[in-house]
Amino acid sequence: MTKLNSHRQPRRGRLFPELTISPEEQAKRQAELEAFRQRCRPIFEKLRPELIDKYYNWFIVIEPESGEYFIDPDSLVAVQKAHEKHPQARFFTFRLNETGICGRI
Amino acid sequence: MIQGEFDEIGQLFFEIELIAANGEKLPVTALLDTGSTEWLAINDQDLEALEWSLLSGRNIVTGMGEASFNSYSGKVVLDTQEFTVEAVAGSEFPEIILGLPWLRTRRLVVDFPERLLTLG
Repeated sequence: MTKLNSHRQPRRGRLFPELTISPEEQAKRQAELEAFRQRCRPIFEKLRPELIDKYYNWFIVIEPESGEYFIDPDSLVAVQKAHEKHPQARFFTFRLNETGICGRI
Repeated sequence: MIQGEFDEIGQLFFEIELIAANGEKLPVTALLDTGSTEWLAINDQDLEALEWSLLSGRNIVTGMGEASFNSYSGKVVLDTQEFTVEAVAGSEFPEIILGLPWLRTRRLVVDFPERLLTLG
């Protein structure tokens, strides 16, 4: 692990430019994440019609193995509920609206 | 209340601290972007040192279009108060970004003519 102490002054930009992953590794991780999303998306599409009116714009966290889902208006709360039930699982979060997109940066 | 600073092109920066999983505190200068709906965005390559835990994947719209990102449980100190927030990580973030959610309970004052920038 990189020693955090090495930076005493607040800094802008990348914190640890020395920790750089190869473009191939980045692409591999991104493809794997997209594949995981593709597994979760149909579960979201199936649940959306029954939940969207009552919980519009709430967050929905999906665990694809069990098909279980966890909802809350606060994204962090929704994902914490999911982790409590499935501590070892991976999740994908959607938003209960027309796009399922969580937000913007 | 904390004081921020404008950079040479007028972007808004505030000093915060990131808390690594082992408790070490890392002071950073973060960009406040009111166009972001996320609490915090960080370059995913910097996460290794912080050892924050993975929460979930999620899709977000960026200037480059819609994409999938992972989110992590991040600990942040802002104005001497500690917060646990969901932090979005991606390879395209060149800065630490603070988003709109911080403004739901805080007043942002931006006065360019007076060179005044505060949050709190």
